[in-house]
Amino acid sequence: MNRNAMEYNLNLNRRRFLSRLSVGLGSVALGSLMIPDLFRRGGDDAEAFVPGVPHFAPKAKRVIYLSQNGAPSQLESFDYKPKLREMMGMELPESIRRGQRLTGMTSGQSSFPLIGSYYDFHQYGESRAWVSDLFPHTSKIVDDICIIRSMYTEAINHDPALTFFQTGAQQGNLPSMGAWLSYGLGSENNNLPAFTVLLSRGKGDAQGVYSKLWSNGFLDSIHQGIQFSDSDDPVLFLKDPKGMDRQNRRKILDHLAQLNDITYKEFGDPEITTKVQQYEMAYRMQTAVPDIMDLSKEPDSIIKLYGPDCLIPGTYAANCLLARKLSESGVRFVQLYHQGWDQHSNLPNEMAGQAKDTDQASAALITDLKQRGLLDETLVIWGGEFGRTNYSQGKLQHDKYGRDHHPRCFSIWMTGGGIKSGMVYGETDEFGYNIVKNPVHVHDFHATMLHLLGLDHERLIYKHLGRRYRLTDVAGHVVKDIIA
Amino acid sequence: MNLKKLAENLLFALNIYIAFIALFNNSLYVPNWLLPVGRLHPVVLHFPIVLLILTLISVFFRLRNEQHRQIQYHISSYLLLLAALFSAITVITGLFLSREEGYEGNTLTRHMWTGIAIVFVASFIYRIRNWLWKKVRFYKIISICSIFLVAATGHYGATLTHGEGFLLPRKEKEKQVVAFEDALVFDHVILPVVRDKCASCHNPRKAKGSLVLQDSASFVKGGKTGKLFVPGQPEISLLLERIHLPDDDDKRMPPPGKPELTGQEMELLELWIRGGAGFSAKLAALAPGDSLRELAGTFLDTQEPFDFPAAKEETVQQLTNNDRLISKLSRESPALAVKMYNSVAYTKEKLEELLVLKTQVVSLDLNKLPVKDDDLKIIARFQNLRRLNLNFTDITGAGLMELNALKHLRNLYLSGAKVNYNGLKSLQAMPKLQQLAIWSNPLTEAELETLQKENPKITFITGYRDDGIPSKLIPPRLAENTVVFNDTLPLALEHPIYGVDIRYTTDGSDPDSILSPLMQKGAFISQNTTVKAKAYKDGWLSSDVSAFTFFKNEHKPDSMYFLAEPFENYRGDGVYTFFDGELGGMNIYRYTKNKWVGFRNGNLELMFLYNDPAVVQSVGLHTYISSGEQAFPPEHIEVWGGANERDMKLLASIKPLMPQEKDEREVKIINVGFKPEKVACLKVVAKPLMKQPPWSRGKGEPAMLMIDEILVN
Repeated sequence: MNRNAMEYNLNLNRRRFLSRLSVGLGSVALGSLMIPDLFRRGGDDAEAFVPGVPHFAPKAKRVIYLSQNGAPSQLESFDYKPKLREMMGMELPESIRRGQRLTGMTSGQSSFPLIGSYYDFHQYGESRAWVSDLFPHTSKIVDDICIIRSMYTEAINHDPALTFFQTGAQQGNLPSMGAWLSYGLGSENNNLPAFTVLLSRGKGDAQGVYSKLWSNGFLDSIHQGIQFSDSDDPVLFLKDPKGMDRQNRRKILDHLAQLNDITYKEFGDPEITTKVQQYEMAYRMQTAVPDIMDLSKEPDSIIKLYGPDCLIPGTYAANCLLARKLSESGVRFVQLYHQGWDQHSNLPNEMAGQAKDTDQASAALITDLKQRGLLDETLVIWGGEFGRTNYSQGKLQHDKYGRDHHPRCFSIWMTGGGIKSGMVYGETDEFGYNIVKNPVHVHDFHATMLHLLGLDHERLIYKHLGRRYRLTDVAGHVVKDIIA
Repeated sequence: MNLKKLAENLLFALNIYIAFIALFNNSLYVPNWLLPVGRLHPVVLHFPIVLLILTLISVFFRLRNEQHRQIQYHISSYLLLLAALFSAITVITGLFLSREEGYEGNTLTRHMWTGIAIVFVASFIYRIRNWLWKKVRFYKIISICSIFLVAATGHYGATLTHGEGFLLPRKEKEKQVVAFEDALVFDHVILPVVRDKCASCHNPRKAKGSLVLQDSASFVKGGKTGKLFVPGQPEISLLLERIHLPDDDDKRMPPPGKPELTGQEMELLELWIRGGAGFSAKLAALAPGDSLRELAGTFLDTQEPFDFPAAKEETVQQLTNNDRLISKLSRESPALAVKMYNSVAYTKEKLEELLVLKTQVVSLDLNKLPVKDDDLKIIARFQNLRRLNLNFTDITGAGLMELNALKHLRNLYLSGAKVNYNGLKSLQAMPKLQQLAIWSNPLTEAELETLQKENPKITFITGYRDDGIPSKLIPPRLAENTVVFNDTLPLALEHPIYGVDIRYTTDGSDPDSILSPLMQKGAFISQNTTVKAKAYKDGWLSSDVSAFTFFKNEHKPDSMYFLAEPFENYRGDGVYTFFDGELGGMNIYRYTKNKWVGFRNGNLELMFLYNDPAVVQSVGLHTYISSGEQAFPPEHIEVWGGANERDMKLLASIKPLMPQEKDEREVKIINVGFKPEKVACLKVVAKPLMKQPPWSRGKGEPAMLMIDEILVN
């Protein structure tokens, strides 16, 4: 054994020698030349970061993310392009497309006929923002929101795009932004998880959402998103099993904690303390969760505001109402996913259904937060993972067409904590295909979100497997223009 | 040796030349064509530095061997000569460069004289090198002094190029923190941008183009080319012209390599000039909605500075528990935010405990806690409160005047509390109150209007007010998910909205708001029934009709088996599917877990066995019919019965009706009735349609037969 080890060490070949010495020294020198900040700020930020306290005074304390999964078309919602109607059926000029890669679904198409929105647009509010007729309730709150028409992303298919939006990387298994916030800001209510997830599904063509989207990645498991479902058991495995009462549970937990403490002293694995914390939180959630999930005490006016659907468990409206209750109770990040926005065909019909399911409740959530004085400190985001093409997928008919995936531009809206209200930001060309003004990359979006929450995206760092990770990887700029 | 002599002579000449121009510096005129020589200064200056240091340091490392030492002596004297020459050239180029615009002030003078000193010192050392070579100690001292001189010159030069304090680590930019109300447009918004992006070249030490951008006076003065701006006319203002020039224009500011102005900063400067370029205007004095006010506001760091001391970490730790969360506003801030939970555990004492932190708490959130009027006296002692949330607490208006003691309070949330007009009137005395949430308070429209009129500074959040237009109820739903029953089934419909009336019919007609019976406990059904129901409530539109079909399945067999296997993609839960009481729904998509069993090509052939013979008179097949999905009713159905499997007779045989082209997809019971017969054994055979009709999608092909439940009565 010893001999082997010795022999191994003697086998210092050229490659190991180089990697050990010259590359190490050289990269330090080169790095300091190329990155002037390398020595100025030192690499100690990760060590110096105190989880749970913001870098600077935050404008928003909580986030509600209304993820419209499947990618709603920007051309039928917030990006008004009359030109497309005029040019209906004409070919998309190559000068606009510029070799943009296509998905496998339309790459075989011989023609790319432009198609304008089936639905009319009108201007609303003091901001005179254009909103399609599909969103009558959202159009009433345009002066409260900031519509960004110049989002763009890198991925062209749902899963990577959604994963990119949620975790800052397309590959998955990195911490979700909710987990980052939980890590960076800590919990605001020890009786509830800092990051919760609510799912709903519309009638439109749907794409899957998976638990990797609310993963804690390499962060402590306490930062993982907890899914609340619409069943009798909103949080799985939370209820005491039959025949066990709360006192019993308490005793078990106390004894378990003692055992864990012994193990911790022996091995020092921090995950053990995390586990203990989780057990304790689950115990406290047993009383907190039923209270949150009980919608029966909401007054009629609230039900009217969100629409009567909000009392049907599992609907988007119910989830919006729940989101308000969770956020009000101090949940840092409430993540909603509403599936069914993938309109490759039959778009006018399907999108109308999707909009009907979501429009009123989304707007109601804003109104409701505002009247409780919560909108100032809650950041609300509405949007999909990418946009949709300005040409039709499949056969083009006036009232029956589809749109394929389009990562080069799409629209989202944000409101609340620190966001300028009544603003329309960014612009696309008259074809609605390329961004011509103020592009916002997904990394920029993340940087801005973290900034509003009092976190510097360049300093929210976690060291894992020898490298320092950020939600924004090595990119991202705070979009100052949309910050109030 | 000629070359060496030549160099020595040149050095001597340069020395005299330098002395000359240094003395008559101010009255010298440098012709334009010579100026480019000056720009070589940053290139050549590095040579003398290196050479001098090399030579001077070598003094400290004398070689032992006599011969070697001789060689060292020669090399070092050549180096020294070269160094002195380069110093001289550098100084000359430097003197020319200093004639160019923008170099003035003390630093320049120091740089110049130290530089000149180097030339003379180096020349002098070269002259007496023979003597010095023998006086080693003396040579060493002179070397150290000279190295310091080189360092000093270098430092002054670098200060000229890079600005003051470039050597020390750059401090985090200290932004002046000022409240929005007190902020001046020029001092707090414009000037910081200019200092950040322009002042490195336009300051009193280095005033490129004779332009200094330091304060209002220097702004007005402008530079060599003229005034910086014409108030109110950005189109002809020099400042804007320069910053908007294309990238490759020589006159564009900031020049390449320096930090650029952002779009917003450019817009800001333009708006300021358009607005008259005032120096004393307050930001808050601009009209709300004014572009300059809006934009400038985003540049302002309005984070309030808190001048009270931070609380002890342990105190905060001790007071934090699961019902009371105390968090720092930010890493460096002494201010704290408190949020309390758990209405059951809340007591006045929990609030009182916090008084230890009464200076530090700036935000207090008591949302949905049973806070009483009396507790407001405690809250009033948190003197630095900025934000107070009393939504849905038990306070009435009576105690609100206590809060007048909170001189810094800006946001007050009273939504959902029973606060009346008189109580709210007392809040007028609050000097800084900006936002007041009073949604869902008992206030009349008139009272609200008066309040708003009397307090123009306060934004009232009144929230959603019912517009009186009734909205539609959702239809009633089943309380239990059971639709197949054995004998009788209690009829239980429910509605999530409190106080809703559910009316229903069982005869297939639509329910009526007066005539149809009310849903009440004790109602039950005892046969196949379609219940139609509607929800009603005052102030709401009645719901759509919801319909529920209940099926009686009296004789569930004790055992059963397939005589022929079903189609492989639709197996459901096997033979048990037919009596599990669960319907398959309208989705037969085969990859989702479903309750449909399908047959194609082969017959449905099932055997039911009863331990005690049952009297049977009908068999119903619950069938999915959708011509578009190639699901059709069976061609014909036979029911066989008897005392045992070998002795059975045909009880009935029917040919079901086939759907027509225009028919919608549906799920229905295909019933086979016959004379009551006592059986212990029952066989059902249904033959799928072999050839789909010519109008259908799968014309001529065999159809699917989809069954999810079989009812035996």
